[in-house]
Amino acid sequence: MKHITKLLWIMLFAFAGSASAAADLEVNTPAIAAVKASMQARHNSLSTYYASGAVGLTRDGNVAVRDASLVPLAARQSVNGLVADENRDRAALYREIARANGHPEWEAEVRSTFAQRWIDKAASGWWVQNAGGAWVKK
Amino acid sequence: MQKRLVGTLVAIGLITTGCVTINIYFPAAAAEKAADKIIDEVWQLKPEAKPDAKSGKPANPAAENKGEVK
Amino acid sequence: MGAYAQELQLRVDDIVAPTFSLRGIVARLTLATPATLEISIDQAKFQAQEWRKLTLHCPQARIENDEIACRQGVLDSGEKIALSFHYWPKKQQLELLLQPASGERWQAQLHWRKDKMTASLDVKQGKIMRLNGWLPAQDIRFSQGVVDLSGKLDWDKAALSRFDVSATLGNVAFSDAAGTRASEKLGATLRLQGGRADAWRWNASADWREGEVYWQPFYFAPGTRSLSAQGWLTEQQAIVDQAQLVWNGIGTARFNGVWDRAAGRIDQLQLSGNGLALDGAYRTFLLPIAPAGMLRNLRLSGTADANVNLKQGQVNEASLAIHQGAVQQDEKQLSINGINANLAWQQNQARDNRISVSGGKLGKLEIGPFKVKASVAADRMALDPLRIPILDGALSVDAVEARREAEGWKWTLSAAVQPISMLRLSQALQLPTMHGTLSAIIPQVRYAQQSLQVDGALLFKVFDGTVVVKDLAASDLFGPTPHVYGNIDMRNLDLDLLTQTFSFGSMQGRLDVTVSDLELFGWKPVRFDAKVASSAGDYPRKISQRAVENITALGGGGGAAAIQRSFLRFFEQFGYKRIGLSCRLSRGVCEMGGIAEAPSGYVIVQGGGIPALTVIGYNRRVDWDELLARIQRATQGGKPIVK
Repeated sequence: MKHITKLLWIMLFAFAGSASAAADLEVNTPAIAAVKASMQARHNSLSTYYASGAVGLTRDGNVAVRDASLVPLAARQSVNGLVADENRDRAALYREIARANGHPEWEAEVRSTFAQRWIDKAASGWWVQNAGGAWVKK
Repeated sequence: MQKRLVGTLVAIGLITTGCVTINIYFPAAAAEKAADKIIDEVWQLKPEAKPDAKSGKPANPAAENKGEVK
Repeated sequence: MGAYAQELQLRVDDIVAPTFSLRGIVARLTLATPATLEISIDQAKFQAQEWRKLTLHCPQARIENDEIACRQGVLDSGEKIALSFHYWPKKQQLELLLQPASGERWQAQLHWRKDKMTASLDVKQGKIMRLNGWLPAQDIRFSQGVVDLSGKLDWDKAALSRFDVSATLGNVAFSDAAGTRASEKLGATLRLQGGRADAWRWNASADWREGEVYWQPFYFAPGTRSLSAQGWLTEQQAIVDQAQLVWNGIGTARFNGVWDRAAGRIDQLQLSGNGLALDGAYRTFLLPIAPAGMLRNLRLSGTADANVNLKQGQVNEASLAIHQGAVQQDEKQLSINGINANLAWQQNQARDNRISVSGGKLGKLEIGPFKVKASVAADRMALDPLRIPILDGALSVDAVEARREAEGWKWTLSAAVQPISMLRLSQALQLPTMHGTLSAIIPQVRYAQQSLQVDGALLFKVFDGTVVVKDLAASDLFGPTPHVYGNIDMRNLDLDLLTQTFSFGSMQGRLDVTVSDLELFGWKPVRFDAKVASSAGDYPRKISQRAVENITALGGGGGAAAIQRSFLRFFEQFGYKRIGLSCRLSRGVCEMGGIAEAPSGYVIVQGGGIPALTVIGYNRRVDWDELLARIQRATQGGKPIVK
């Protein structure tokens, strides 16, 4: 056979693909990353209001305006906007984590896990809701 | 080796009815760990060097591979 | 009075007038020059206000048969206030002057006879906080500000019958406890007049000159606004005959209406405004009530004429005419220009709506002029077919229908893309130059609760082959996590055109690509099951040395060196039998495969002809982002680009 066959053995794709560890919840999806980035960008604005006590962390994993009078008048509307957008992102975060792990029905449990951890990790001086829904200062 | 908290709750054992079993599959510990990681990132609690996966890699990937001709 | 008496203690009868009363009055008079007077009052009442244990010390007093006067007195009601009064018991007249602080004067003249009373008020630099106790039982309180006020009020049988009050407010701050209704540095002039026969006839005017107000959810920045209104007030209704609101930055609105006092709702309201500035109206009134994340960061221009009619607390009819409107959203790179519209809505009746748009931009894509005609009712909407020109083709949309159901609005439509040249489209989108056409027939699109479902297929004719996108769907479309799903089927793509377009190194042949279970987030793939394989049929199959180098470079390189070391370097191109590659993407990792299995690997290029070259891949798990970076480097001229 005039057929010259030369095989070119190439170590294709020789670099390792990152395997996911099964012990953890999957939180590295593009959707979760996008929501996280959006929340991270908003945090600079919100942290001022957490520190002043204008905005607090609720027991259901959201944030809420606690005392608008601590915010200059002209900024009160934008605080409402920040809070609404943050809660929308948080809802998306809980939903996407549940989804990424193949259990959309876990959303409520993810939310309550987060609710507790946001509050536990809140800086001292921030306001959080206790189990009864009353505002307490950390 | 997914850690799953499997709890079995035998709740009501009434005389006439049988028992109810509730299986809890939610991985609470893993969820807490994931929440902590995300909260740290969103609130920037632990400043960590963030290597950019794309620009941080060596420009010439050939260095890490072998070519072979038979 | 006895001439020897140095000190007299008097019990004065309770003073009871239609609106106020003073009880338990004890006066102690010391006769000297001048006389001094001490008065203590157990209880003083003015309408709903009540004070207990007041004492008044008058160093200069005068007590005569029909006149009691006190000059430079001090009233102690907890706070010490300079007070002077003149009381004529027979004339039933009282003049009262309070000077709580220097420059601050609260003066009242009261005159009563039988069941009528007249009061004249004059306030200069009055601290407005003193009115806190008089406010209606809401939790709004003043914390700063001064008021100048003059007024005349008449009472008849303990009820107010006429008033004319003018007031100028300066630097006023008020707030409720939660801070949801508050003002700062508010400056305004008010005039309120009214008279009662069977019903109250009133008119009011207010000029807001300076300062800001937050009234959740609305914020009114410092600016000028004025309101004038007149009407009637009865037990059941508050009626506005006519009113005019001039809002600097938006325009002038006129309204009239009836407020049902018992039901606590608007019985009827007719509001109209012409030439209203759209941008100001959006910022002040629309943005604060927009749902989270929606309608943010818009820039509007143009004007509108608006008419709204409310009946029994509900909008009965509304119309809006937009003149030369434009909308711009920078983040989404969206702009729509030259909007002229006549919009109308009516309860229980469908109304015609017309919108014409002169053009716009969606990202980098320009769209041409189009017109929309729609029939709109309270619970349904239907659009006439419309055609939006895009480059040399168009998007034509037919049978748009929306229905309001329990869980929200449900939209359905059918559409078609009339052929758009890929050459112009790729140029417009700044993509590598492509040839062919894009066209699509979409029998039905359904949209409800943020989810979009496309029945039918989008058809692209590119690279001399066909691309069919099926089962297209999207969730959370306008939310923070928009996902897009679909299946893509590409047939008979010309590899020569494809590799030229993406400067990959020349290849000849035909390719089929199937992408199933595709999920995109932010237009980036998250999950798919893709297979690329040579199409069936008879056609020239050639692969250039550079293309081989690029294919191997995707896997980490080394191929180029391998070729250069062998005799293969003398060949510009090679023949092949089949090319194929598969990638199953999940969690950022691509599970790779080829057209056939090889010992501990898979075949990507199966050689054929002379010389034949076979490329075998060994790594089955590849990081997707890394693979993308390598493809990008390969298509940027075959040389690794150092960033």
